[in-house]
Amino acid sequence: MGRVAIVGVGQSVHARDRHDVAYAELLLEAIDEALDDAGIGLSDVDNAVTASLDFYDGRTISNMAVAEVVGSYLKPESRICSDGIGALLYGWARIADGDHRVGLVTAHCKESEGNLATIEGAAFDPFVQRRLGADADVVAGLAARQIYDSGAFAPTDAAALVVAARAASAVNPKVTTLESMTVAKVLDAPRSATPLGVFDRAPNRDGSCAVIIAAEEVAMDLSGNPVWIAGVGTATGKYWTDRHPGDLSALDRARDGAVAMAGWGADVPDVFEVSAQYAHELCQFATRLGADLTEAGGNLNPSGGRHAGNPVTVSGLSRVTECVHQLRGDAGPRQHHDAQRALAHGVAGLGAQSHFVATLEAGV
Amino acid sequence: MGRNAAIVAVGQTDHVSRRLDVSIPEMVREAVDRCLGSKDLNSGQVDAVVVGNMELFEGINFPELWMASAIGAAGKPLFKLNNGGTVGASVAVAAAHLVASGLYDVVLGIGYEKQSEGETQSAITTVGDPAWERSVMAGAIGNFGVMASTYVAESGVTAEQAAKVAVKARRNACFNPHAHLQRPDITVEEVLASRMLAAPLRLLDMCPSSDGACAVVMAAPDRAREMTPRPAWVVATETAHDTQFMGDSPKRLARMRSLIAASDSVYSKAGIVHPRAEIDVAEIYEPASYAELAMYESLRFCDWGEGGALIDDGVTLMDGELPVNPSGGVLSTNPVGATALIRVAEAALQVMGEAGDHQIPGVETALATGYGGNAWSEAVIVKGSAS
Repeated sequence: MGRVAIVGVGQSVHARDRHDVAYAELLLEAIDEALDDAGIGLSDVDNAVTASLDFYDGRTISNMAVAEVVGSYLKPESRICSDGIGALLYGWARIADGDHRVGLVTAHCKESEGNLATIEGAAFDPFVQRRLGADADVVAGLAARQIYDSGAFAPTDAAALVVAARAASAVNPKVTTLESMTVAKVLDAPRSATPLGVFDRAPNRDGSCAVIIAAEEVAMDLSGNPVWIAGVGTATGKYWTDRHPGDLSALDRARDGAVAMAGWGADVPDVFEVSAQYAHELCQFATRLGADLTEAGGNLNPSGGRHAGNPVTVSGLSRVTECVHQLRGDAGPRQHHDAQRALAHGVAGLGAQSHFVATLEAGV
Repeated sequence: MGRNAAIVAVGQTDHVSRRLDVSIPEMVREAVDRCLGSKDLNSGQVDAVVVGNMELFEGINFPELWMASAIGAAGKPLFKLNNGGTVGASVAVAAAHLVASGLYDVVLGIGYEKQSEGETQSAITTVGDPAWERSVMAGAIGNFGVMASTYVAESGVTAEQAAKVAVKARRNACFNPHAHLQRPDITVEEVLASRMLAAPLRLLDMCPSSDGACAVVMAAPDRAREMTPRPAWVVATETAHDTQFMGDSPKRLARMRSLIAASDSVYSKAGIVHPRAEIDVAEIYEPASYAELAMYESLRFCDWGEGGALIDDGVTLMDGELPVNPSGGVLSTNPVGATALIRVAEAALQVMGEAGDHQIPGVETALATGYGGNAWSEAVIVKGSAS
């Protein structure tokens, strides 16, 4: 298989509501920035893989509405209905097998446009669970109770990550700067699903992200600073009611696949960008991936992660984008010293059922 | 592609209007069991799973996660696609890329729809842009009415010629135990007398609404040869989309740009110069009788305007020069998320020599297509040999 590089990245500004744009226009902001970053035009792209969800877009086959902005007129586009790193994985395969040369990978979501309780509620088993009236917060609350009771993590660990993410939002120009927080404020906030409070859940956001990937020979022509997709991995666990929240075997398999493919062995990434909708999940996932929670805002989620404000489906690609900036050394005030290896993680589904990992490397 | 992927096993449910006896995961499991069972495989041999379905048709968000254990995907890479009617072909194309890239050796591709549990036309109404199209272009039938009208105006094709396609499909379906509408006695007169839906389309000119699932196993070369004596090699795939707004493509059926682009690409990749002579059987996604005739032209089975003559001459009948949809096609069976995968699966069965009573003798090269979205097209060529 041929090597594949990331040669351009772009993001819209992620905000609570982007009522100024329809979702295709929101995505266009990210695509324009990514094309500009890569120094190419849309006509240079020979295939697109998008990530989006019909339920959030409020349209069936909702990728129909992004056909123009992803340039798929008489060209291929396919859609992954999950986290954007899933789309990156598929986009990687389409180039690695030699069938394509330049790919556009995108993700978009406007969480402001629908009723999230209804949308998230539609992921419950329709026969029994929907009637219980639970929502994603309840699933997360049940899980957090088990995680905290097990002693693996404490609410203060999770709260510290929320504090770090909100602080990082001030140095991430693609998200809205959030009100700064203290651990005490997070813990004292109104409860959403005990033991979780309202700040434990990542803020709902509208946003988009785009990544340009290219076969090695194209990448070397295009960019003096390509970032290599060294590995990709994903796995899905059992449905939330069939799985203990402490069971991270799907995350392990996703990570193991991407790390083995990269040939990293026991080498530790210099930067971790980890997705989680809830703070206790971030404790679990970041630790399991090998990050140090005390480094939050340092080499763990220098972007602030999802708690600084990225929507579902987009989060994974936003993580990739931050890793690319870190590896290129153009992350500005967020730059981590001499980053050579970075790990980006995405997640999807009720109770974090599916995990996606991309291992990325700097240099030629 | 890096290395060829091959289809080694196919399974389908028996497609009907309503499967009241099974839930969605149970229905999909049935297709998976039939697929794996056909070659004595088990889900432990599957490295990754790709699922195609339209969430808003049944109203379930992340349906693949709900059914992960039922389809043997728990603990594995699991991908969910949604690309409209094309999605089944998108599943096959994705499975082929995932194998060809070297990432996985064995991929299970699944497409399904249980249309009786939702209101498909209500969902399809939402594909129109909310500001510009939704109020005037609702559902699939109205769309096809407009497209068929322009095709009639362009080509002079007659209602009788379209009706012959409708008859061919339902008669062919009688030889396919999985087909939904099996009508041995259907006549052209009956089609022409059926209820008008949206001119020129009558009830029997349209595909049905089905509950059903389809599964295929795609494998890397070494594994494929272990699993079955004659795999169906996926030698070429292509996807091409058209513009969002129908007003931007007035001849979208009469000169189906996306299908021309996709088929020309796979013909070129597979070294096919004269499609009608070099393709042994085609399984195409014909959502309406008129569409099949128009697609003959865009697929270059005949010259522009000659689609009607092709059916008049019997070229595409089961015993014709180029049989089209011996399975009965979409006009006989349409569980939307599965429909385009059924095309690929049926093409593979023909190549593998496993199509049973609707087997075309001596198939070496088969074409499958998908249709969906805004006149989107996918095309896949499967062959009996890898090169």
